Amino acid sequence: MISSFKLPFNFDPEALRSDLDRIAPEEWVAHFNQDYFEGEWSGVALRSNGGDSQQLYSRPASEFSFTDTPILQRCPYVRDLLAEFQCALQSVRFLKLAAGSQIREHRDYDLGVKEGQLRLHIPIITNPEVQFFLDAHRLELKAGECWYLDLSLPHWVENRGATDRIHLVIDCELNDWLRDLLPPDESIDSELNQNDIDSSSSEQLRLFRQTVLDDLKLQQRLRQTDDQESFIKLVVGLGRELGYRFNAADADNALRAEQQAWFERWID
Amino acid sequence: MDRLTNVAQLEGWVPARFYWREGKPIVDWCYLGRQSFEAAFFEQTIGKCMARPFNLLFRQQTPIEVLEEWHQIRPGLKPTGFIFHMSRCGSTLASQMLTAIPTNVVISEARPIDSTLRARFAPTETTDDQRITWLRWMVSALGQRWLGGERNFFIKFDAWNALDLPLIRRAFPEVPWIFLYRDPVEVLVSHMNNRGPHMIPGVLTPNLFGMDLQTAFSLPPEDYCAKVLASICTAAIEYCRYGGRLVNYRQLPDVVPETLLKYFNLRCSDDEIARVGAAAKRDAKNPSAPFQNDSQKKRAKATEAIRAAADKWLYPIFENLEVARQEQPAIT
Repeated sequence: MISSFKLPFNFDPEALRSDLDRIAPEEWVAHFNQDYFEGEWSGVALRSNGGDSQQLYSRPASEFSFTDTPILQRCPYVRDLLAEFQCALQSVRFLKLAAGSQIREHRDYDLGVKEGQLRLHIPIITNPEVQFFLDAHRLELKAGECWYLDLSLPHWVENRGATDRIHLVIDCELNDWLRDLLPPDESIDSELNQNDIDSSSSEQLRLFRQTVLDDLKLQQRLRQTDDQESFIKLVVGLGRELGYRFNAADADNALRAEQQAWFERWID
Repeated sequence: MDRLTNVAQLEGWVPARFYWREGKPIVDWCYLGRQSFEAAFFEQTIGKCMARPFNLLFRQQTPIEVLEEWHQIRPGLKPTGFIFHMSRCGSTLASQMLTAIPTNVVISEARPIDSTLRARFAPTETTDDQRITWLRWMVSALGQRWLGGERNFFIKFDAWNALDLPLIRRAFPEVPWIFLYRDPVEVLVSHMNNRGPHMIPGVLTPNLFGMDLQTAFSLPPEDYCAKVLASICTAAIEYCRYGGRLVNYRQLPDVVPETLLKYFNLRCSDDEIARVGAAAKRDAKNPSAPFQNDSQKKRAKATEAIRAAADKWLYPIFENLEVARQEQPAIT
């Protein structure tokens, strides 16, 4: 399953910014998920359950159907932009991650192709110091681009820049029109998980671990996720890049063995 | 890694464990990064780090000599002060009050420090000089500027480490230290409720406290605990004239801002003193609850056996500690 894909749209960041200018500072509300972030994460809804612009939480199963909010009336460019989407729209929000703020690693399980719900991100204002990591890989999302992101995978964001980051975030229902925009499903999972364990693959993993301990850059890349699944994928992927042949089962077994050894460290 | 090939290789790594493998001392390192030791105990910070998959799969394991190389490249902070204690006597409150000042590194009951000290019970015979050298290296690796701006470095030792005071003094002759103690019955009540590792013969060898295993197992638990505490307090009173200062639990928490900061030569701003005071309002081991002197509650739970053991093994030493404490010069 693909984790991210840049859709073939290019929107005008300037026009998006002038829509943003029509929103007063006091109309932004703090994001509901207070546990997930440090700093300031806020938003304003252009379409929401019940049509309230302060209702940031998107609930497809709610008794209140998705309705445009009064804010959307003020944003002509976003209205035109949304008209290009030939699929049912759920929530539409401007989300702001203030300078110096971060969203800790988490998964949004209700999103993704499997769930039939896609979240699209269109950066409006961003900066090169924004770190967006999805499934342990850094993505560079530029202003005006339109991205599909599988946010059921672990992701975290840190705005290390001096300016706020603002995205237009669109949730939509998956249909054939959207499916055609996405690339065909070339699952690499099967390759990573194939059961070709031979006696040398654990040795290959050992050599890879040694290489990592001598290489600060590799270490840094491997610390980009605390999610065990993403981590294993990353380990296998980086191993392959460097020519080490081991698979996810090897890495998983090694991780479990280390965990066990750590718990039992005081038993001599 | 047998030798450091790159100076920066251990930047942000912390010794998590010191142990023996095939007769050789080994250090396990885990990546800490830019993070401070805010939790009440060193082991809590390490445990959190070790929950990260990276730290499980990619652990530096080095011979102890790598500590020396690292010490030469990154000597870190010289220790500012040491905290010794008889256990269950407010030492965590004291260390958390020091932690409240952001420029302080406070390492509390670090296993790697205890393991270097206890290396005299190791499979390979280890001399005092060897242990002093290892201790200095280990302390230096822990006393790094983890956030960048730290200026002071405190170590709270495990209670039984007071028995190694002569050796620790030889390793760090200039470093002022305190010994915290508390009314024997109150301490015993706490241990009888939930015994510390030094109170269970076999978890820590009774040899440490001058008893053999047979004696240890033949004693009622109250008496074993009281004897362990007595040996810790005796060590403290014998060495307190060498850079030590005695502190009774009853003096907490005010003694920290009023006396101890000066004793450790800390010059604090009003804001820092306010932070120290605010930390005293929390229960050190359970930060959501306020600290409360619970002497009355503890005394009410004392059994006859606890009182008898305290009278027999501990009160004479406790009295000596009190006399010596009251003879200490005031600190201005």
